[in-house]
Amino acid sequence: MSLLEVRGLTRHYGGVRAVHRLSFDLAAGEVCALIGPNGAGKSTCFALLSGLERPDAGRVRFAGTDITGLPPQRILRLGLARTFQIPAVFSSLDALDNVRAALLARAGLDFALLPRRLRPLADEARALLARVGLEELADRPAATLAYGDRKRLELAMALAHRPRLLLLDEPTAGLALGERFALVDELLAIVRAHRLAVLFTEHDMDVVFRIADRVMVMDHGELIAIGTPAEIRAHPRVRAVYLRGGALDDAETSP
Amino acid sequence: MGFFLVQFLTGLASASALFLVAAGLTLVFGVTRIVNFAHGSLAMLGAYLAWALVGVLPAGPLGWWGGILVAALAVALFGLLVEVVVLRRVYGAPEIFQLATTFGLALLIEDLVRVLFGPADRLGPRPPGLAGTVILLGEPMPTYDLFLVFVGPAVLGLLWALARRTRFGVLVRAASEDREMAAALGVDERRLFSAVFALGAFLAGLGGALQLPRETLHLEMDLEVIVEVFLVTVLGGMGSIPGAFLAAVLIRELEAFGILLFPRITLVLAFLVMAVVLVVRPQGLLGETETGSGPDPRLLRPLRPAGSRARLATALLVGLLVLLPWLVPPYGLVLATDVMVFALYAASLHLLLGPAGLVSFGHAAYFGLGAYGAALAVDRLGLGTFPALALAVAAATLGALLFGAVARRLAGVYFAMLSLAFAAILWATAVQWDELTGGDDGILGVWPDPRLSPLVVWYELVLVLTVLALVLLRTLIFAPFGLALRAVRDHPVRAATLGLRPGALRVAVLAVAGALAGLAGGLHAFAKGSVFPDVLHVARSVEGLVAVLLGGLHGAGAGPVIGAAVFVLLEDWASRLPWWRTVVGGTILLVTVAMPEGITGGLARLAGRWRRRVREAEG
Amino acid sequence: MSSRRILCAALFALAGAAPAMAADHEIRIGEINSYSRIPAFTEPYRRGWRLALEEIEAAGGIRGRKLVVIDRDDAGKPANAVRIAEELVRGEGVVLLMGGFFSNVGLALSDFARRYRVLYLATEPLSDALVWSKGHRYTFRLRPSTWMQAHMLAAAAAGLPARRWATVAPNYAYGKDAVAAFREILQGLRPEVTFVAEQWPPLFKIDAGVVVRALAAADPEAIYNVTFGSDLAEFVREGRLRGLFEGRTVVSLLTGEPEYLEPLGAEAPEGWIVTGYPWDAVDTPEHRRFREAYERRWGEHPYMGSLVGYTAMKAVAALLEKAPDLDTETLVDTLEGLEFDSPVGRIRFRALDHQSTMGTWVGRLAVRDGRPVMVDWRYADGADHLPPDEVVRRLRPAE
Repeated sequence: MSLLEVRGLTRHYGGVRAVHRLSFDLAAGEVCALIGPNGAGKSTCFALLSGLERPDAGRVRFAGTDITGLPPQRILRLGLARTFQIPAVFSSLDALDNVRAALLARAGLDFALLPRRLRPLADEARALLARVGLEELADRPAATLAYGDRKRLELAMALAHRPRLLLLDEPTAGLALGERFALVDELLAIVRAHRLAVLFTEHDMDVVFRIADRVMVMDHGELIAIGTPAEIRAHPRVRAVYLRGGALDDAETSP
Repeated sequence: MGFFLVQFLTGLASASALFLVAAGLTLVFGVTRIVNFAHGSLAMLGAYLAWALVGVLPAGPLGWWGGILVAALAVALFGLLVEVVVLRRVYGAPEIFQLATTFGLALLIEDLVRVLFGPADRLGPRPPGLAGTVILLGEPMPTYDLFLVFVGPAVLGLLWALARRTRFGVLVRAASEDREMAAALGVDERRLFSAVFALGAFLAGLGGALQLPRETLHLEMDLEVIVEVFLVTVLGGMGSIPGAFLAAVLIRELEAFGILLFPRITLVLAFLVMAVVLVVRPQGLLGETETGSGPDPRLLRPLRPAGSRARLATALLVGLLVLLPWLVPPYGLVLATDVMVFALYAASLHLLLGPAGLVSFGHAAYFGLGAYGAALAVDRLGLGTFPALALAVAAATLGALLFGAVARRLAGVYFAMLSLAFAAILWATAVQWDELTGGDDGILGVWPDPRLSPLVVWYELVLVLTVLALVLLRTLIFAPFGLALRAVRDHPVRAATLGLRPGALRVAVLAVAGALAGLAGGLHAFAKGSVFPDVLHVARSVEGLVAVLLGGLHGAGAGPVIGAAVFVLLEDWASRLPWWRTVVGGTILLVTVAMPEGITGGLARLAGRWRRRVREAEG
Repeated sequence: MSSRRILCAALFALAGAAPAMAADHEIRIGEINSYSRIPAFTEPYRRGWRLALEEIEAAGGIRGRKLVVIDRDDAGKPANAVRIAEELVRGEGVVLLMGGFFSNVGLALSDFARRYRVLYLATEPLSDALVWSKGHRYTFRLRPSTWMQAHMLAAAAAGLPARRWATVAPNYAYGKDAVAAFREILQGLRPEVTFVAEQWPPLFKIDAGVVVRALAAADPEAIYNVTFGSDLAEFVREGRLRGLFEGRTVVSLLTGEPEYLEPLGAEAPEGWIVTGYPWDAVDTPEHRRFREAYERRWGEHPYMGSLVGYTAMKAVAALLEKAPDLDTETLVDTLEGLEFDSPVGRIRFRALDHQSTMGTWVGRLAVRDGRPVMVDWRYADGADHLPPDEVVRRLRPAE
């Protein structure tokens, strides 16, 4: 049985088909890329899956539960976590408190009124920071962290919910080339260790082909291709509408 | 028939003058994002200048109209001066800072007008040629009012032409719609802001001056005008000039016909309409939705629990306060009680402004609900002090929950303005529902139980309650609840996707802040023995803001306490001086402009610099 | 670090509040008024009591002791007034309090006086409640009250042919008291009188044009006006402009007082029946003496406020001269029934309700040489315009 089942998912803005009759499956532990040109509907797709937007039509099942139109926090509780393209962290909190905020949300402690209720969360928060390589920076305000570190922090916050599926919106956008691969390798290690499924969008084809088990391609709100990286490279329609020649070949030739 | 026509036209005439002033405010807000509390003062200045000029210039149409125009131009020039000297320094600051700065300005301008024109009421002459009446369907209609009916639409048209047909207008629109784009277009922001502020001041001056033949000039005009103009601007939509026109007409016609049906509740009526509109359309009639402006950068530092030295110092201070009755004369104790009550009020407001990032312009609502709750409990129900205080807290909490239910989804300026409206409705109710509240005469005889009434006992009780409340506040801020609040403030969307509940958290924090403000209000009622509508007045809300800003926005409770102490002591001392407005206003300006992180922040900065210097000297 | 600084600051501030204890050679009294809120009335008031104070000083003080007045501004806020009262009583050692302009400030100070057993002489507030429904042992009032002035006007109004009346009054306690008293008294004198319209503009926020038309729409034969200050000026201007006053008599409270009359200038409505103060025409020897002294000292003519301030200080001096000691209870006992001389003649503080018998002038408005004046006036003695004693006794709560 697949972890995520998407059937006929549709969201229109006025006359624009942001997402149109999207259907696909995702298995547990699978790492899948969602690519497409700007405006193809990837971000809307993420917003629909994570509950930030409600679909006009279609259904989404996650781990056997119908999550269509559920509020974001319910979806998260079921084990579907996400990160944002621009790292969304709590700037005024230090790194540790960012993760603790995520943990207390999971524990339903956001209305707890005694400071000591936070203490038991500290160890787990430190462990999560360590997993993304931020244990040294636990006391630093998030606002002063480097961009890549903020991405790591966001990942730690997503992991705090012990998700089974991670939606990562452009995990390497804005990072220097060297840093990208470091982050991607760490990510992969974490994913494998916990048998997480990952759905991610990405512009860097090197990253896509390096880690994706499967690639989905969107254009004008519709899914135009699904397949292994090799199949996608060879897919004529993908080459025509999305890759405009060049990009795929670059990826092929890169080490 | 004629009666209704003339009533309608008279409403339009009043709306015109109101619209001019409001257009200036909304224009300035649209471009600079400054909520200018001193805008009413500019209108007052224009009116007084016109009065003086018309008196000096030769009689005749030229003298009269010349006087009006020169007055408006002089106000524009004055506005320019204010912009360059003061406001330019606070553009980057969050709304509350700007509001406090302009509140300080308003105090200064009031003293300026007093010096220049004297304290007496003034009524200006009518313009030659427009002094009479014409008969419309059998009803007399003043010709000057008829002229004013056309002024509003004419100015609206001129502003429209300015916006659409001139380069200046294009830049103004670009700047109000998209600042970054405007910067990319190569707009010189400084010059544009100065020009817009001068234009806004001109409109305020003109609006004030044109009221010369219809309204008595007096020194309370500034506050009166600003409250009405806020109402109109918010109702119309912040930044929307046609909206301001529509709202001005709506409000004035509501008054013109409302007094026929409900002569006793005209005040409540206007604010009630505003609240209803805002609930349905938070952005006002013609305003555009705006997302929150994001948290104040000053807040973007983590809060740390106090170190052992700070704890020790606090413990010593509390110990000293316990012993205070044996150290100072009775009046010192009275003053210390005032400081503590005000500190509690300021700290409850700080919880909203700081950790929760909710800009409340109407915090007096909860203070006032508490005060009236306690007073009514004593006066009507004959309850003792403690049950009355409990009722005060309950009344304020209920009010906060009600407001939270309505305003939970609003952010930034719209939240601020709805809170202002909420407090204004309560104030107007307290003034006009005198069967319950005693109106302006207030509720008297609200003294503590006999066993609590000796000054020392009362002082110690207030001390205990205040310290407990402040400890509670601090605990909350460092508890998971406070952490969640700060997370929601920093990034509401992120917080929601993580499973925090922004709406519920906001309602909860409003309830907590409301409850503590209500306790402060109840204590205030017992300390003074009486309650009057001024506990709900906008000035009380602003005083709270000023105290919080004086103390410093960042932090977890020490700031507002220090700010409140400074404010109460400063006001007490300054109230002996004839120029207390200048003193208080000047202090506010000085702190907001020169020490934007407040007294605590400023001291911390100085201490840091000193430590660095010591280290350098040692190294 | 910062906490210690706060501590120091707090100590300094409190040390500054240490009481300057009254020395034996002086008597301190506290004077609280809305000097910055309503200066048009309170500034002449201050000049009035200063003049009296200087005269007392020149005459050698009170039984050889210097009379010191500590005057403070409450900015029109009752809560401020109470705080200042606490400071004056606890910190400055004043033996009594006087002052107040707005009724709510007066009532707040009165409540304070009852609680802390301090004598309070309400000089200007007009509220009936001060001496009647909320009257008590420690509060006295100098000026003729709302009821008394309404009575004076109602007596004059009863002589008019008009039966259909309209009222306009600011929407707060003073306005409501003034309308209620006038209606009751006039209908008592002329049962056939009806009231066909009432307007209640918010205080100092009148939208005069629409109020005027709303009144005209009811077509009354006469109008009773209670608006004052800025509201009055706008009401008069719009009323004249829109013909409200044509063929209608207007009876108006306080409008003849120069504070309110002079800003109207030549636009002052002629023929209105008003209470007020014809300062230039009152020609009794005691008033002439006061007026000349005032004009010499301040270079301006006296206002109603000047008269009240001067008379109040004279009352305090008379009280302190006569009282055997400065204990509050002694002062209260002495002031009950005390008689003293003032620019308006001999005045008495009634033991019954602590109201003084100071009166005021009733007359008609006219414009002479472009200047508004009162004509056909007479002095209405306060003693003649009070309810019967048994009524007053019922009004006052039992002690």
